[in-house]
This record gives sequence, structure tokens and C-alpha cells, in this order.
Amino acid sequence: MLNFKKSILFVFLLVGTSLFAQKSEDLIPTNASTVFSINNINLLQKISIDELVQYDFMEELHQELFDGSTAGKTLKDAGLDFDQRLNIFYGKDKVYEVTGFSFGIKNKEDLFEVFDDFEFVENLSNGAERYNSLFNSLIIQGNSGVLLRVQPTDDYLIRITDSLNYYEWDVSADEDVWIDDHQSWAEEAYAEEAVLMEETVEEAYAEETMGELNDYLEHENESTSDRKTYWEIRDSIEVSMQVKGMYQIIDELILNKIGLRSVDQRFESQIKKESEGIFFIDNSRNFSNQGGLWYFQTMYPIVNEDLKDLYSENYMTGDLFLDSNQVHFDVQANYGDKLGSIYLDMNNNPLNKDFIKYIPKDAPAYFIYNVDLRKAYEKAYEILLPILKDKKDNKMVMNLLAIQLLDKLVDKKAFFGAYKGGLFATFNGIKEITTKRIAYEYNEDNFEYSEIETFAQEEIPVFTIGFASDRTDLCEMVLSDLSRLTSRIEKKEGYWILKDAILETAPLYVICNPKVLLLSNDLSLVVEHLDGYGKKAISKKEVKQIKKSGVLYANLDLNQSLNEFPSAFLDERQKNVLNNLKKKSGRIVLKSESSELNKTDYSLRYNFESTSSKASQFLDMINALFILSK
Amino acid sequence: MRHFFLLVLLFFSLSSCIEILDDISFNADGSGDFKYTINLSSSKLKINSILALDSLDGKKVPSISEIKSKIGDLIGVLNCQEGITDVVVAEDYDNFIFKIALHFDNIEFFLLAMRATIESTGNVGVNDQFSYDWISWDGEVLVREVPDLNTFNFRMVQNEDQQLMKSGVYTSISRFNFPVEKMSNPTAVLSKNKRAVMLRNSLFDVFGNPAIMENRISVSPTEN
Repeated sequence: MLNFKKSILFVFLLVGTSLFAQKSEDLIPTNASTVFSINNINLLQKISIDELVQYDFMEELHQELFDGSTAGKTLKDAGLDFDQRLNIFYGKDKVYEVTGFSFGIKNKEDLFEVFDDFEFVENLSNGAERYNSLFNSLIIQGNSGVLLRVQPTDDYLIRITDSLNYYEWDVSADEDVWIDDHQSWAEEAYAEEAVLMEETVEEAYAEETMGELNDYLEHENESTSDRKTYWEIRDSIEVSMQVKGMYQIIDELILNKIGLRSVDQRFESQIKKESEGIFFIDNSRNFSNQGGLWYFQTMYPIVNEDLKDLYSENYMTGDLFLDSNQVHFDVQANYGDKLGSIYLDMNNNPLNKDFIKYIPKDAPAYFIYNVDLRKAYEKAYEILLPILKDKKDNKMVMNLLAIQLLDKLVDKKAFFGAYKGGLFATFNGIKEITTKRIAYEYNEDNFEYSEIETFAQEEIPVFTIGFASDRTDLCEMVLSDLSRLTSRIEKKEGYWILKDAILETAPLYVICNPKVLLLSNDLSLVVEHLDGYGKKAISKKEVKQIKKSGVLYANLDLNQSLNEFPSAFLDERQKNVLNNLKKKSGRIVLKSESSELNKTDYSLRYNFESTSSKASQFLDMINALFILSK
Repeated sequence: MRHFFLLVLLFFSLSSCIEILDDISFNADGSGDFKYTINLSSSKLKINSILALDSLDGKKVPSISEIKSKIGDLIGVLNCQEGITDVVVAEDYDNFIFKIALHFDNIEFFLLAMRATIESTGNVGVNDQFSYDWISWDGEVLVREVPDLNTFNFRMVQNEDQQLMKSGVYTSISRFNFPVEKMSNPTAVLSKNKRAVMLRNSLFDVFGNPAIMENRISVSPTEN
């Protein structure tokens, strides 16, 4: 009987352990607003660690990982458990930026052979083990681990440090008085800072730092000969904040087992999916942390709260599937009723047939954006006005008054008839144009020279942009009047030519069709296809696809378009995305479905012809998404 | 959208080139005239593309009015220099051709004026390049060098920029009142009237090795 009981207990423990064992996806902190989770990590077995750490999603962590110990090693060599997900996460609030990844562990010895910079620090109260390297912490709990990096945001760090910078070193002889004076100033500055800080974490940190500051001041009064520089203080604050931030996460995530999965039902549903990869982006938190809204947040804090509410249900989920030569994303943009009703009116419109006939079937890239701004305006007016009308703030009342007067006085039908919002663009490849240049002609007798005009052929990209409009006659009227002032605008049969309009070098053609206003530098369009490309336009099959899609449809041949795209003027983030995509060849089709009240579905299909492995293709696309979402 | 097309346009306009032309002439009394021309007309598609942008590689792109103002400042400095007169600047923003012409009373004044003007830009590296006598003239022998253009820190580091320089040309002309007797640089060409020497090289080569523009030219005042 006893043996039977023991057996029952053993089986129960075994089942219980396997059922309730913590998985890698449980080790994602609540701070994460963006998560990429790779389910089928078997795919990645052969990916070398050196290759993996080159990805941007590993950037924050890779300084230490990318050293001799990883050379020639694969993820498999690193002792990872390929039956668990690999989760990459990122989150940023006003105080901290958190990056990391969680994963399953099969062989701890192998893991530390590869990640040999980590040293054991402590056993946490629940038995989890904590290891540290210079910048990162690795927590191992059961068969899962999470690598974490916590960093104070630059803005916050600078604000805190600047409020302390009265420790500047050119201290005068009466420095004791100086310090006393500035101590009170610093306290005031701190008090002001604390008022501005909305987050309780910030306040807590500020109070604590204030205590540290007082200790520091006391110490400084005792010995003023060894003061820290601004940068040393900044480093100290940074380290102190890192330690505190890390403890907060460990406390919540590891000791109290509160992770993103347990607090966010939306994420919980998403992570359960069986696709090769999923992603989850909480735009509501991204919205509230956007620096660009600081003016609005400062000037109209209450209204900002209302608008935050508008975005509170705004999040994106995505599933990533991998076939033999296709990566397929299904993305769902979710939002609340109010925002959704605006999108619903703005996005669900019939396809403008005049767009289709001006897209050549051999165009390397094109997109159609089919919105109706008037409907969006009417709905936004209907939804936002009552929110804003509740406010009694002077500026807001005056702004509202202006908005309402404009709404009553402006002929919206005429205005939105002229610019309806829908547009398309095509990239028609590269063509040669003739450009003028100045050269010098030398007299061989005395090398005196004179300027001569010569001509050269230059290659430029050819494009067409079309805007939906019922009032292209207005454009016709403007061009007609302007052409009386300058010879650079000339009327031709069925179109206008604006000489040297593109960068003072190439002509721009304007076609004022009844339903669409076309701008193009494609001579063949105005010479041969004024009424459209006819049989040379995109196929009926493709038109059918476009008609089935919602507000957005884009088709892009990577070889003929992105691979030739210059990156010199892009910022680092855009460059990263572009460089990722540049390595590829194949076709990307991005389309949306019809918008619903609470969601719009998008799908992106990428058919690749690259010789690189499926795993690399997969990671490249995840990386592009990670950079875009960051 | 605007940037998209500008970027693409820019990329495909790189087959063009830059031309630099310097022209110095000496009178019998040691005075002379100096003309310097930068011809970017072949690159105007690229320049217009750049000017249409707010920033390039994360750095602010100056507007035409800022460029004009900067050139105006430099000319202001040049105009105040002793021994320098008749400073004339021509700026053609349609073709992007910039010319400066001036008269100098003697070569020392010219060197000092150039040094002071360059110093006013605050570019330390360039100052170093102009701190020595890169041109000397004693009435019979002209010794010329071209300051190292790399010290100007041109933002041309990418492959396409190097390509641009490879197709660019640097032309240097030296004129005299007397016939030229000999010149040290074997690639230099003598005019038919024997009073002008021209040296032309690819801008890329001049950037890589400024010494290729060095020349020592002797004239025969007695043969006038």
C-alpha cells in the first residue's frame, strides 16, 4: 500500500513537474512592450552564434557574447533546449530600457562553455541562480534562462546627472559656502524633478538618489580634494540605476513570478500559437513613451490622457510562417472602438480603377494606398470633438473654436474632392536622361580657356505618383496661369511639362485626368500611355488580388528596387532595415484586409530566391521587424 | 515620399564628376593673378538631391543661403588681407560652378592671405596644410605644390564618392611673362607660346598622392 502511495506520489510529481515547469516564455518581464518569440528553433540549430550575435536584436547583449568563446559554435553547442521557445524582448519607459532573451537550457555546462564571461553571483530565495557578466545578468530557473540587460534611458540619466552637476571642479576657495548654497539648490532642483516625474518608479528612485546625494555631500564636506567629474558621477548614477532596475525585474519576474504572460492576456493568447514565430507589440505603451508627444503631454496633460485612452487597446500581433522558399507574416493591428471607427471609415473604400491602368506590369515596385480622408475627417471630428469639448483650458477652447469655425466655413466637399487621400506610386526602373554640363575648352597656344556646354546621358529612376482627385481641373487652372509667367511650364497634348523640375535637371510631367492627378518623369508614359498601359498594365489576376485587399497593397521586387536603393541619407535604424532587405532577392507582397471595428489584418509574403538558409531568411525578417518596432 | 525619390535620384547620378581648375599668372614685378574654379556642373543632379535633404549621414546639409553666407564670410576675410585686391567671386547655383579671382602684389602676400582665410574656417588640419609655403616664386623659378585635399575632411568616403573623384579632374595652370625654360614634372604640358604650363590629373590620384601635382618651373627673363 505504501509502495502504491509512493508510486502515485511519484507519478503526480512527475506530471506536475512537467505540467507546471516554467518555460522560457514565462521569463519575459512585464516591461517588455515588444516580443519576438521563435517557436521552431530547431530551424536555428545550425546557426552559428557568431552569426546570431550580428543581428540587431542581439546588439544590446552581444558585446560580451561575441568573443573568442563563441567562435565556431552553434546554438546547439551552447546547450540550448530546442523544445522551448527562444524569446527576444525589448521595452522602454521613461526611466529604463530593457532588452533580453529567454530560452530553454538542455545542458548548463555547454552553455557556460560558450557564455564563459558569466560568473555565479547568488542563489535567489526561490532557488534560481543568478550569473553576471559586465553588462548582463543571466538568471537560470529550472530548465529555462533569461539573459537581461537593463539600462537607464539617456534622457533620464542626463536629467538626473545634470541636476547634480554643481560638483563641477573649478571650486573656489570658499567652497564650503558654495556647497551649502548649492545643496539647497540641488534639493529644489530635485523637488522640481520629482513633480515632473509621473512614474512612481521615478519618484522612488529620485528619493533614493537624494539620500545617496546627501551621503555624498557629507562625504565631500569631509574631504573635498577628491571630487568626481561630471562623467564619473553620470557613470555612478548609471551603474546604480542598472543595479536597482535589475533587482526590480528579478524581484517581479523571478521571485514573484509575474511576467508579461501572466499580466497580459493578449500576449498569453499570442504566445500559445504554434506558428514558427510570433510577435507582440504593445503600441499603447509605445504611444505613451513617445518623446515626440512631449509638447502635447505637457500642454494638455488631461487631453493627452484621453488620447492615451484612445490608443489603450492598440497593439499588434503577428504570426510568422516559413515554407521552403517563402516567409509569410500575418499581422493583426488591434485597436479600440473609437479609433477603429475612424479606421473603418478611412480604410474601407472601393479601389480607384484609374490607379490600376497606370501601373505597368513590369514595374519593379508599386504600392496603392486607398484611403478616404473626408470620411476619416468626419469620423475623427465626431469622436474627438466631444473629448476635447470637455476641457476648459484657454488654449484648448481657442483651438477648438478655430477647428469648429473652419469646419463650418470650409467647403469640405470641394476640399476633400481635390485631395481625396488615396494615392499610388510606381517605380518603373532606370532610364537615361540627357543632362547639360559645363566643360572647358583650352587654347593650345596659351592655355586660355572658355566654358562650353556639353551633354551627357545620366541614369535616373523613373517613377509615377497618382493622387485620387475629382478636381484635377484646379491643377490645370494653376498650371495654365503659371505658364504665363514662366517658359518652364508648357502645355502639351494631354499633359503639362515642367522643365528641369526634378532637381533642376529632369522634366516632370503632369497629367490632369478627371479622376486622378499623375506626376511622373517617365517620358514613355506621356508619349505612349496617356490613357493608361492597357494590356501592358498589371494583370487581371493581380487586380483581383488588389481588389480583395484593404487599404494597402504593395508589391516589390527586391532585386530591381531595394538592392539599388541608396542608404546614405537614411538614419541608422532605416539603414539597418534596408541593409537587411538588400541582401535578399525575391518578391515582397504586402497587403491589408478590410478594416474591422477592432482590427485590421495585414499579410506580408516574401518569396525568396536566396542561396542563404531558411533560418537566415527567417532571422533577417525578424530582425527587420525588430528594428522597425524599436 | 519626397525623400524616397530624391534618394533614388541621387544614387543614379554618381557617374558624374568634379573639376577643379587653378590658374596662376605672374607679372615681371612679382605681382600676379590667381583664379580658382570648382566646377560641379556634372554633379548637379547629385548636389540638388543633397541640398533637398535636411541631413546626410546624420549631419545637417547646409542650405544654399548658408553656403552663400559662408562664402561671403571667406571673401570678406580675403578682401581684408594686405596685398590682395580685385577679389571677385562668381557663384553659379544653376550649374554649381564657383569661381574666385584675385590680384596679389607678391607671392608672400598671397600665401599669407590664403593662410588667414583658411584659419578663419577653424579647420585645424587644413591650417597645418597651409602653414608652409606651398608655392614660391623668385622671378625665375616657380615651385608649386597642391595642399593635401584630404585635410579638408570632405565627406566622400563611400565607394560611390571615390568613383566620383576618379572621374574628376584637377587642372593646374601656371602662366608667365617669360618663356619657360624647363619644368620638373614630366606629365606637365607646355603651351605653344611656351609661357604657360598645364598639369592635369585625376582628382582621385591628387587626393591619394598630392605630390603628383608638384612642379618646379624655370623661366628665362632674358629671353623676353
